Amino acid sequence: MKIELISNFNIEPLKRALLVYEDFKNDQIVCSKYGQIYQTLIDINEKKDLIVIWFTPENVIKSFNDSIYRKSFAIERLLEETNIFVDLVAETASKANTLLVVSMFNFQNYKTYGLLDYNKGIGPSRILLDINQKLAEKFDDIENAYLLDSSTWYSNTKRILNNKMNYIAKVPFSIEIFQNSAEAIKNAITTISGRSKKLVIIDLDNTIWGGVVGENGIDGIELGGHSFIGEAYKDFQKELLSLTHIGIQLAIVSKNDETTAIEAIQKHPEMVFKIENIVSWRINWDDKVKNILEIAKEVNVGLDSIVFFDDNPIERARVRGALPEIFVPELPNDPTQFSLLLRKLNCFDIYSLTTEDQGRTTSYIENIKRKNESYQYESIQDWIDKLETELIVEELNRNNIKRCTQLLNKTNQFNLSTRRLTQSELETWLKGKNNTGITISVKDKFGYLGIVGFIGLKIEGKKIIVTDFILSCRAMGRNIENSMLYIICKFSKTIPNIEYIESKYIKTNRNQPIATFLANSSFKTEDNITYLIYHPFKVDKPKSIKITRKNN
Amino acid sequence: MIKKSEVVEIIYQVIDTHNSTNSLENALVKDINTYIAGINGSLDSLGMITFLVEVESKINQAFGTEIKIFDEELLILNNGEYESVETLSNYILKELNS
Repeated sequence: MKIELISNFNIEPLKRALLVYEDFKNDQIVCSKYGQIYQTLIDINEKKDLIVIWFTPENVIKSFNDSIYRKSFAIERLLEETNIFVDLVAETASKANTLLVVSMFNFQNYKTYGLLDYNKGIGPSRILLDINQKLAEKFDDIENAYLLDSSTWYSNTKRILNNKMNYIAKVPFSIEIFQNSAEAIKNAITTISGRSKKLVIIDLDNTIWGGVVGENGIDGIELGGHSFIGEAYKDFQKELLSLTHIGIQLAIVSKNDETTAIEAIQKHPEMVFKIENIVSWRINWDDKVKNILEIAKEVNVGLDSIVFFDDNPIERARVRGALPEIFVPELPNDPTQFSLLLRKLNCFDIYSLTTEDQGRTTSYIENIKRKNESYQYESIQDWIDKLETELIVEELNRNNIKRCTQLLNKTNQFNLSTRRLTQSELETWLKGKNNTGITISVKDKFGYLGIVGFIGLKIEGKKIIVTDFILSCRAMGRNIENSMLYIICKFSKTIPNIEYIESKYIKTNRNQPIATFLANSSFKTEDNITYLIYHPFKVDKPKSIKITRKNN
Repeated sequence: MIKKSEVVEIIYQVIDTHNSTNSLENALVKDINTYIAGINGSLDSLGMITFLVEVESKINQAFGTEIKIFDEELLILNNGEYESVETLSNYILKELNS
């Protein structure tokens, strides 16, 4: 990656702190010269993968400087300065795939006027508030620009400033602040590249409630009520449930009697989540590693997308040892710290929120119903035929591009090229004269799955190149793959003089499913990398699937 | 009377901090003979300043003192005070006990 760090102070320590992380080791990180803020922003002439902008306000907004030295300033001038600054920062977004701007924060504890520090036209705290608001509002319309909330860096450290280093080397912050900021940037990149967690597996006894339900009974567990420990467990449950609102699933793995445990979840009056919020569970006396592996297979998520919470250090060690890809946070002994721990974890950060995310638990549960129903049929084909599946085909557009960016970045298994693109990169790609993006939404008798597929096509001479062939794991194995291939062929027939369709399979550790599909499809290959279908592109539409086109 | 081992321990803490904020290639070994500055040292000027200011802050915090460890003149004169963990701890001990 090409990364540029732009600041009005010496930002070299941030570069060094970033290089500690494996993710940035091979990156080319450039630090701007300090003191030439506006010039640096204007002079960026080569597109970067990532630009980080971190300014201290006294050097960019003159009115702020006046304010901290108790000089009066005209509101009109402050507004003008703020607008110039915000516009320039926003324009920088076009020069990078991702722009991260550190929010302004009163880290110096500028106490200038006391009670008037938040007063409009006077106080420095008010100015910072206004600048952040303007930046945030501006970024609402820029898909690749994000405001990094720096207040958490400052509140998580004992030492914010390093005045001596500031005077000696123009480094105003302590080492801890640079560590925190590097961690935040690393997490932002992890999130944007689609490596956030997707499934949280929880234990029950002493993890989401106090005590052992099998011994104490439903009335004997500590949850809510008037005990502070019970309240702490209830808050932890609230935090866990809140994850489902951003598309992260909950599952249970617990050594317990299943009937008693489920009864506790369903009937305890203080339970925050119900069994309907749980995508899958294994409540038995089996090895937890075996249970986790079963759930991962059932929900169809990679082990590196899973977080496991268990109060028992032996179970944690067992899972860590057997399944190192799974993230197992060290739960403190004190349950009053559980919620805080969950809040502090960065692995649940998101960079976009779609309707598909918000309805994911329902969608997964519907999927399990589909699967359960499939066991009643003699063949998979019989089951597929009865699902009443309908594919809605729509061109890639402003309304669905956010979800398609997610699919590009988060889908691992059924992904032809694992081409990772930011939204702005996808927009740029779409502007290419010969490029077409097609989205696939699916609904059936169990419900609406949302946009689950994406096809990227490029016309090049006499061939059509399939740049992206992506299907969410939730929709795999239902003939939707074949329907997508039919759609590709149908599209190809509409373009004059096309002789063949070409798909290049780029192997990763995770995308064997698409290789298997290609090998069993109408594509021909000699090297298991380049797959071709020749004119007249004879691929039949799967009989039981209805395909409708949605026009923009 | 402050012992040399106490000072060395604080320098080691700063080495830990340094190693956690710098890539492996620039890591320092927690050893009395580790070179810090001069031709044998691995720190560049910013690394050097950061290291010494951090040592100064930690020493003063630990012993309730206000001694000056980072000194531009000493850095320019290059008389060896900052050369290694050994020479730095000797210098700090001298300043603490003076």
